[in-house]
Amino acid sequence: MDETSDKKRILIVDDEEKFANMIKKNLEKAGSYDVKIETKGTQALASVKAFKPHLIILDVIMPDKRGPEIAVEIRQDEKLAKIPIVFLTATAQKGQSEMFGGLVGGAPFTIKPAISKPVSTPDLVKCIEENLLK
Amino acid sequence: MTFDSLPKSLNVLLLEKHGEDARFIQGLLTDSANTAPVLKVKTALSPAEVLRMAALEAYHVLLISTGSVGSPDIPAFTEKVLSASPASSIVLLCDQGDEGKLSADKPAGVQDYLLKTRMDGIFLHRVLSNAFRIKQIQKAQRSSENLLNSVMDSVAEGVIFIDGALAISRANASACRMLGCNESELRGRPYSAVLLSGHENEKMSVSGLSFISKTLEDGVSRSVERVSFFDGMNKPIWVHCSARSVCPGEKSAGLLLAFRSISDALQKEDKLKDAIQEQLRNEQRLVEALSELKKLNQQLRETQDQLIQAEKLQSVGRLAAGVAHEVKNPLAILMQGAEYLQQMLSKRDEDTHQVLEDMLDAVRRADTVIKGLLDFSAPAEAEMREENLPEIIDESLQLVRHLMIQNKIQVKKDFSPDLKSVVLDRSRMQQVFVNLFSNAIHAMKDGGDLVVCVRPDPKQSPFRHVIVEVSDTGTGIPAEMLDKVFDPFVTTRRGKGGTGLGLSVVRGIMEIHQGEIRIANRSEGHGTVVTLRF
Repeated sequence: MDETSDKKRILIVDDEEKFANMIKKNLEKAGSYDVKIETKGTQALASVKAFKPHLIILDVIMPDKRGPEIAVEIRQDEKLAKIPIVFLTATAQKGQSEMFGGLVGGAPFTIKPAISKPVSTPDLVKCIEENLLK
Repeated sequence: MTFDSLPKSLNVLLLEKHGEDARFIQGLLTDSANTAPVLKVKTALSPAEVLRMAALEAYHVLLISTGSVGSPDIPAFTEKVLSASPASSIVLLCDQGDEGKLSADKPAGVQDYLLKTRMDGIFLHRVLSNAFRIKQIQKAQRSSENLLNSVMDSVAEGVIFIDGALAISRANASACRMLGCNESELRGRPYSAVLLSGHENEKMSVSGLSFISKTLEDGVSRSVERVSFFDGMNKPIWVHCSARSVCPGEKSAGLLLAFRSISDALQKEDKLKDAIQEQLRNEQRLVEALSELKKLNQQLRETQDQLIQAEKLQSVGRLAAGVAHEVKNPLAILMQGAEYLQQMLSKRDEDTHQVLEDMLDAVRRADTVIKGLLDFSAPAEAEMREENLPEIIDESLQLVRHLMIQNKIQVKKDFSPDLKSVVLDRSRMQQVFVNLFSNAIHAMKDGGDLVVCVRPDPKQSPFRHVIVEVSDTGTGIPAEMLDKVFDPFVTTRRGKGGTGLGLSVVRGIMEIHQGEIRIANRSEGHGTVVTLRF
């Protein structure tokens, strides 16, 4: 992918394809983002390696692999460990500002912030901007 | 046996030592030779000869001339003769002068006597024949007597003969045993003395035995089921007794009392009565126990239903997370989609913009509900955080919104502006409010007002900050249930889905929060007020 483009690359990992497509449309309209979608959890790591996103939006509950597991895999990879991850969840409760991520090297980490569905585009953009890898 | 039938001939042995007299007597008998029975006569000259001849041959009648024996020896002689020839009849032939003695004191075993000087052939014949008859009758009488005795003594019932003079003439072995006396002690005594001896209440016994005197009088047989005799020890024995005239129909002929002890039967009867009583009591107890069981069963069923309801609620809770997930995804798509359309289309006209705005609003509302549901079915441990009460109340109201619309309930909110946040477990507090609202709604089936008021507690203290009042204009709580209303399984909606668990859970939650809950019926108008203090 074109690394020198000034558009920020966002990878969305979510098994709901329709939802992901909506997000992509709205995000690309809202700002200069280059959005890619990955619907298979098992291929998320490969997609990250290939796309090298500036931010990963990661669904928590997916049929083949859970979000936190993927998060751990990403964090374990040195080259990818720095990419910001935002959990996108359908089950978060109001006021929950972080979610438990997993254990890497025996140390627990949390992913923050977590966004819960449904999310309005402006909120999503705000969240992305706050967390983007500079 | 008829005594008119005589054998064709009778053997007669004559004892007469005087030859002349013997010939005379034989002559007399030939005169009556044509009269039946035929008399065959042999003669003996001495008592010893009589004995010898009687031993050799059977003689129907022995005609003994007293002169040939010697008067004082007659009884001894007749005895001897009878032992040699017990079946023979004896007729004594007397000289003048003896008859006086004989008529007064006829020896035993002698059937008749004659005066030598006063007889003819026909007379003699008749006397001899009759002597034979008499002997037969006597024998038959003895047999009857023996038979009667055997029967009397073999019978288990007591049998007493009472003669025309109201005295006991006979009593059998059983009667003697039951009355505790010998027959000799009973014989000749008036029956009323024996059967009533020593009774305290004479009057009663007299009437009890009146059946006997009646039967004696009219000869009609009677029997009584129960009467008491008294034995030789003056102990009462209860008997079934029947009185029967010896000659039915004839007055004062004497009667026969037959009685058997019913003491055993009476005892058994009493025992039976007791047993029946016991049985009835047991039946009664069973009936009561059964009714108790039925009640308990009923209660068990109701409790079972309640538990099932509670279980269902729990299941719903468990489902909530899954449901939430399934719903949130479509909601997310809707939201994103509506936003996209807004971007594209809302510049066109007001209406389009409004429609899209309403759609977005709807999605947000749905989201709140789902969030509320998730919060409501939160896991077990209480997470106490500072929360905003009004927010929690709003979310809870959302959760019951459809119920409110269904029952045409108006909601009035009265939240004080300056409220401090309260440390609460959000999801549990939602449970509390949902429960209270739900109760209020159920009490207002035909509409009404639900008023929620939140204000600072006038008595401010470290533990009391805020008062929440939830009131409705419904049917109120019956006075007798007010103090039980927090107990588990107490509900006014038994059979209509009320588990009776809600308020007990609510109270439990308030306790966790170190808060207070009170329920009262409204003082003005009808309905209930629930007051929560934090």
